[in-house]
Amino acid sequence: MTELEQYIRSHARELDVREPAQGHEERFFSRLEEARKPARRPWRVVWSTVAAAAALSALFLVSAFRSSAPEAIYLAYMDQVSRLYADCPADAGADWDQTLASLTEEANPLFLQLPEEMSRMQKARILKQHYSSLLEGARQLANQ
Amino acid sequence: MTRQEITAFYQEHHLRLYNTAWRILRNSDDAEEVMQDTLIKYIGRKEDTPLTEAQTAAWLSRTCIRASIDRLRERKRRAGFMELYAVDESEVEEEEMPMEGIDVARVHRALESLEEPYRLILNLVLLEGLDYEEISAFTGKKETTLRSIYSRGRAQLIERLKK
Repeated sequence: MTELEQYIRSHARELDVREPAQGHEERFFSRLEEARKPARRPWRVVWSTVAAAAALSALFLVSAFRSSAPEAIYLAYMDQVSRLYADCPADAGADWDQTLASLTEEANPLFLQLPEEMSRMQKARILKQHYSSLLEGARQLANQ
Repeated sequence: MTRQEITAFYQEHHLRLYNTAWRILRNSDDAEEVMQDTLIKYIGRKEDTPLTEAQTAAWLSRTCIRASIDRLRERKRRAGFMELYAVDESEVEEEEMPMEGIDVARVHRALESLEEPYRLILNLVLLEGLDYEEISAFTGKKETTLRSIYSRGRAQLIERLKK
């Protein structure tokens, strides 16, 4: 190793002359806080499976549970669950979040699994019963 | 880790990691993001065995370098990152450089003025203390090629310092 190389190595830390832009520490803590929030990825995955139907959500949400459209019922259910997440108290902790997720999330939504030959009315009835009972459980959890 | 401990940890390591990332990425936003990702990753580690101070510094440094190179590679993918390394594989003879009148600032300017891939490889070898085997693992390039780039970079650096 030449004298120049040795010189650079021994002064390496003196070459750390750049500093991140002002506010970096605050940005770090807000990113850290974000990283520590419980992941809700499965929820987003569920959303993506109904992406096409979601485009219609605004039309359906208000009267969905009175509707006989399976997609609308599912979207209304998702909307209700999202509200439960949003209403979750800040100090509830990750456990609460996880319990709500296990209670309400469906890796493969029921409305996609019902047989095609079933009429929309029949599907709607089953979905209303199923999601109403899930929501009832979630609401009880939220009110504890 | 409490917030106070995290603040102390951040204060201790952020500058070194930021400079490491900056020297590779040449962009302050990217360097800050990589530096912070590295620290967040460390804080979120699940391993039971605590690392010593030296192991922590080494872990942070390697993780930061790897993330910076990955980001650089991603950024330059369309331009062909590896084409940067398509150089003559012969090495340039080692030349001594008289060090009288040379100071850190001058060396810094000379290093900064080097072109890629010389600047990157000289930084990794001299400032980050990586060996060719490690750089090869990070960049996917043969050690002989890296040696050649290094020796040519060193020759270029001496030229700049002589000016």
